[in-house]
Order: sequence, then C-alpha cells, then structure tokens
Amino acid sequence: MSSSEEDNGYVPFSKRPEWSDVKPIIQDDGPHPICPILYSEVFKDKMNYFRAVLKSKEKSLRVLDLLEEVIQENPSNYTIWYYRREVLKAIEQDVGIEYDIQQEMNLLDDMGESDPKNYQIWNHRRFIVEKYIGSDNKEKEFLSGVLLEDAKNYHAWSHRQWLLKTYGDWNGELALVDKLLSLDHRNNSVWNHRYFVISNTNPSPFPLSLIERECEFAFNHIRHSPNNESPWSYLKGLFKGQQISTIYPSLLDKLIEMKSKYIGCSHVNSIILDIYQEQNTKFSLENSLNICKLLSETIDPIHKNYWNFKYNSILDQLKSTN
Amino acid sequence: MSSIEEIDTDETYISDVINSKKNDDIDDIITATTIAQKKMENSIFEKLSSTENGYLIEKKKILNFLSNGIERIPMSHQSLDSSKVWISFWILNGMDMLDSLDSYPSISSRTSKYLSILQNDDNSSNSRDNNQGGGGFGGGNSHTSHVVSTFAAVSALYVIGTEESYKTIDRESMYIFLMRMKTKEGAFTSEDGGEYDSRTTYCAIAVASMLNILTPELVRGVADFLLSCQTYEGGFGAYPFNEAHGGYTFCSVAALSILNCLHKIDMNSLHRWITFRQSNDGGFEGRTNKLVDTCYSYWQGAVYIIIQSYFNYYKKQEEEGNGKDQQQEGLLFNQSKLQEYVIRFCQQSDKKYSGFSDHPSRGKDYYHTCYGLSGISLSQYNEIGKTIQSLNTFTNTFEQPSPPLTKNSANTFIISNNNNNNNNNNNNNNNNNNNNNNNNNNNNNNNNNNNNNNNNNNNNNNNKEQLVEPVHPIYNIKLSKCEKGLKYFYSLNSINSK
Repeated sequence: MSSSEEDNGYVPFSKRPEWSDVKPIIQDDGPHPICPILYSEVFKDKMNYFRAVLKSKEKSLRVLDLLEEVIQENPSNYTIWYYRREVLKAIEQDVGIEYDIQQEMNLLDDMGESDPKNYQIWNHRRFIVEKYIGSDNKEKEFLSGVLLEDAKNYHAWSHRQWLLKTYGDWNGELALVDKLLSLDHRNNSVWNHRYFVISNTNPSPFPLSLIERECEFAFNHIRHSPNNESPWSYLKGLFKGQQISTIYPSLLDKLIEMKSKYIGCSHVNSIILDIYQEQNTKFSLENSLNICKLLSETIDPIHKNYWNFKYNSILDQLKSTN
Repeated sequence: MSSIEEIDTDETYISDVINSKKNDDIDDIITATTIAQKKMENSIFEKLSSTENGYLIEKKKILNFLSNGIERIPMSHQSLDSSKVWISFWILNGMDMLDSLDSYPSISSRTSKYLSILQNDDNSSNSRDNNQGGGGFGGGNSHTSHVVSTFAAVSALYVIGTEESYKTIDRESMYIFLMRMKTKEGAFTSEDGGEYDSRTTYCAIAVASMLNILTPELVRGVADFLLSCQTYEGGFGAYPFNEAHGGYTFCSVAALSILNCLHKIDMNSLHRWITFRQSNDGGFEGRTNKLVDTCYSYWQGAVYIIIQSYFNYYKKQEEEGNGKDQQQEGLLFNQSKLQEYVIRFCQQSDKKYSGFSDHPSRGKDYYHTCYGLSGISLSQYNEIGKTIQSLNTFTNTFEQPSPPLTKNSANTFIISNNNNNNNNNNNNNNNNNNNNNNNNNNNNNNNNNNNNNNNNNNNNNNNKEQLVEPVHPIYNIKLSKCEKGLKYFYSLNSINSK
C-alpha cells in the first residue's frame, strides 16, 4: 500500500477488524502471463478479499458491502455481479437477515448514471425489478433521465422495450416519441421505438388506415429534412409483409412529386425503385434503370457499387419479363 | 464487457451549437445529430490539412504499440480487468494480421499457459450437480465462465495456432457449458443469470463451430431467434425489435452464415441498410444517423463480404444451365474510401508508437487497432468471400454448403497509390467539397487496376508492404490460422453429446 493511497482515506481490508478472520487470496496468473495489467494497490487489495469470499462462499451483509466496494473499482466485473445475485438470493431465504431492496436500487441508480452503457448494471437492474419489485417500479422515470443525457443509449431503449413487454402500460409512449423527435428528428432510436410501439399495439401486417396515418407522420418529418434516412426507412418498414403497389398505389404519385422537388435525395429514389420493381412492367423497369444510373453517377456516387448491383438485377428482371 | 460493448461509442451531445449550417440548403435544421456530425467532419478536415498523415500504414510503430502490450498493460486499463482475454486477443490478432506474431519469443507457451488458468471447471465450483457443469473461459483472473470471453479465448488460441494452444481447450466441458447457457428462445445467455442477445448467441455458435461441437441439438431453434432480430430497417438488433446496429448485425449474419440460413434473411433490405451505413467520410457508422467509427470497418465490412458471397453463390446456382456467366462485380462497399478513413484519419502516430482510434480526434487503443486492421484487410482482398468455400469443406456438417469462400487474393484494392491525390485533397479541403472528394476516390477505385499496371517497381513493392494479412470475415482470424485450426479440430472425433 503506497502512502498516498492511505492518505486518500482507503483502509486496507487487512486493517479492518471485522475482516480479520478472512485470509486474502493473491492473484495467480502463472509464471509468465501475457498482457499483465499493472493494477493499483487498492484494486489488488479489494480483489484479493473478493477471491477469498468467492472461495469460502460466504453470503452475508458484510459481503454485500465488500462487493459494492469491488464493483466500484470495476463495474464490468460480471462475476462480482453474479455473486451479488447469489448473495441476495441467499439472504432472502435467511429470516435472520434484513436487507431493504431499495438500497440495491439506489446503488443501481448511482452506478447507472455514471456508467450508462454497462451490460452488467443493466442486467442487474432487470434482475432486481423482475424478482423483487415488479410492476410497481419507477423505471420509466429513471429511463427518462438517462435518455435526457443520451437519447440514443442502446441499453436504455432496450430496457424500455423489455419493461413495456413485461408490464404493459403503453400509454404515453407515442407522446414520448413526439417529444424526443421534436428535439432531434434524426434520432433513429426514437423512430425504432415508434415502430416497436405501433407493432405491439396493432395487428400485423398493418391495416391501411394505420399505414396512411403513419405515412403522413413520416412525411411531416421528411418535409423538414428530406435527406434524413430515418423517416424514409420507417415509411418503407410500414409495408413489411405487403406490397406498396397493391395496398397503397397512390403513394407512388406522391413520391414522384417529391422526387422532382428533392433532387439529390437518394432515399426517395430508393423507395420508388422498390415500387417499380414490384410493378414489374417493361415501363417501370426501364424507368428503374435510369434511376439507378442517375444515383450511381450523380446523386450518390459513394454507394455506386450498390446502385450498379441494383441496375444489373433490374436488367435481369427486365429480360425475364420480355 | 465484450468488444461489442466497446463499439457502441456515442457521440457526446454537445450543447454549444457550432455556428455553421449544413451545406445542403433543404436540410438546414440543426439537431444534436447534425452537430455531432459537423464536429466529426471538422476533425477530418483538420487531419486532411495536416501534412503528417498519409496513406501508409505505420506497421513498425503499430507493432511497437502492440508488442509493448504483451509485456504490460497500463494501470488505466484496470477497469478492463474482466476483458483481459479480449485485450489479449486484440493484441495477438493485430500482430498476426501484420504477420509478426509467430516469431515472438515463447508466445505459444505463454499464451496457452495463461489462458488455461482462465478456463473453468464449473463442476468443482459452486453447488451444481455434476452433469450440469462444464466450463468455458472467464474474462480475467478469478472470473466465472462467460460465453463472450470464451469466444475471445478460443479465438486467441486459434491465432496462436499451435497444437499446444489447441490442446488447452477442453471440448467436452465446453459443450456442456454451452448447452447449459442455451435458452428456450434459441439464444445463449452470457453466463449464469446473464443477459442473452444476438451477440452472446453468435459467440456460442462461433465457438462451437471452431471446436467441432456444433451438434444439431446445440443449434436447434437458434436461427429462428437470430432471424427475429432483423428489423424493419434491414439490419439486426440485439433482441427482437431492438434498433438495427452494426455489431449485432454482424453477430446475427455471421452466425446465420455458420448455420447455413442466409437464404432466410431478408437480404435485399439488409443489403440496402448496410450500404447506407458507409458515409461520405468513408467509414461505416453503426446505426442510422450515428457517427462513423473505425471498428465498424470490420463489423459492417464483414457482413458486406458475407452478402457478396451469398449473392454470388445463389446467382451461380440459379444460372447453372442458363448459359450465363455473370459475376456480380463491384458488389462491395467503397473499399478505397474505407481505407482512407481508417489509415489517413484514424491512425494516431507519434515518434515510436502508432495505432488506430475510433474517431479522427481521439487517441489510439488496442480495440480499434485490431478492428481497424481487420477492416483494412477486408478492404484489400476483393475476392476474400470466395475463400470461405474452401475452409467450409472442413466444417460442412450440414447438407447445404456454407457461404462460399475461395482463395483468390490477387485482386487487391490498396490505396497507397493515391498519394498523388493527397495534394489535391489538401487544396480542396477549405472548400469543404465532399462530393469532389468522393468522385476522386471513386475514380481511384475504378482505376486501381490500371494504376497497378502503370506503377513502377518501387511503388509495387510499397504496395505489397502495405497489405495486411487476409482475415476470415466470420471469425476475424487470419485465413491461414483459420484453416490450420479447423483442420485440427475437424480431424478430432465428434464429441459425445449424450
């Protein structure tokens, strides 16, 4: 232990009377390991006692305290989290021990805020909510905070989907989508969430009335920023399992009108190509070839290989219609 | 914990609005997304105007950086203690891609002995009944078995590529462990009580295929779970309905490829989605409207090669007897621009060391150095997809042949002969003219073959030195090491799956 660390107030476990009965276990990586990490003394001290506890399988309140200290050093240590779950399960069975599960949520709130992309913390959160708290949880409030910091946090959105799937309560989800899109209509996570909500609250494939409403929703955002890919993908996704040209043929006219307005937008062209390929007529396929050429040579040269590939497959399609 | 956790590097949401509008006048609404993008573009332009960064991969300096890591990892990395196996893999694989690992003194015995300490026997620990145990690798010292760490450990031992390293792995025990991790949904959890998603599932399937323990029992239902992760956008998420994401798309598609289920994917929407992930900056972004990041050069680039293999393979089948001899040339992404992004913008060098970073304005790290090299490798071998076919003769335990891979690395796309255009780019740089740059580079790409022919000997030598070893798109291991490992494990008896 260096003096500076002791100055920082860290008391090694060997100097804590309540741990005097435990013999620490030193890390053994063999005589000549690759990539050895130059751990700090504090890190080593905590891990040595964790190893001892893992071996003795002690499950007690003092172990929960120890685990919390080690987790702070390394929140990604999944074995510590695993052992914490085991301890929680054990003390739940033991009538002699009282532990308020709210303490666990407080720990998770604190750690989640400072380390919002950690698999282990989110997984532990789900475990606690599922096993000890249930539908009467405050997860939506917590998630709002996380999404305010980073509205594209993958774990947070995934947790929200799990929450909705598990406990229902879909009210307010579309309002949340509107709010977050008004802050950033390019946030694709929000578009994905809208699709998730719509899919789980409507029959599949989507009925025409819903498609019309959602197309309008997408178009309202496209008007602001035609090169924003998110609403275009959303629009296309609404027709999953159906053909645009069959269920909503008038969409094509609208798109062609937009195409002439938004010159240089590859997304509108891409979806027109899809419809033309569905129509599968000599006229529509020949038009498609021209669009592919335009995209590859002028509008979207970085993705030139893709448009050339499209060109060739449409050419094949054209040959087989003749 | 896993490498895929690392790839989810978000842009920071900056509050100070950069006082610049997008050039595109119809796209003039500024949001957090556009601000982050603008910041990124600015850092690229800074790199462009600096004279230091060229198109050359600083191999020697990269090796200095990596081999230093074999001997010691700084204290700042101690919070990555649970990813120690991953750090080891990134370093070993990086050195191997630069063809400089095998000569490193006693690397085989050191790695094998060290990793054998991290291999668990879950029968002896914890209170499980004996048939339920098995054991995989932990992510670091005193860590319980974890599917994602296990994938890293097995990969590292493949990269070492000696009988000593192969023999470290207890296949029987591994099989029991993987079966124990399997869920009723057809996925695999990371560990006892851990999460499950397309990433943990890929790791389990990849390990099983590498060790020749991919039994029908193990794979039952797995393809259906992975297929359900494809989203309306075309890419795949971690879990059904999660947002399409480059890391999870790689995991899903690569695993489906191992399982011979590529034909069940909505391939057209996947192809479209992944195409648009390559941005005008040249790099790949992980999700729609996010920033490009070096590591996706591998995650997305590998998927592209699997797609190409798929189209070529099925096209050939379709056209058999048709008399047609059409090859989908140029189906790949813009490989030239991709290399420009990684080498020119994200290579961070000082006098002694070099490596790759995620973004132009950040420092190098082991993770991005490894995946940067992997991405460059995939961009340099146009026909790499075909190589998979020959490797699959070892692993072909299913009726259908797997995605085709052949050995034809003659046709390379390397960009060091673009040096002449350096100055052009520098001059254009203040004009901020993205389209011009794009066109230049596309032309370069087209003209590559001609350039190669016209180059003098000097340049040709230079080009060769700039090649990275070809890696397998599904496993991210050098092809020769893949072949060697697969040959070894597929010469062993099938395990007794009871």
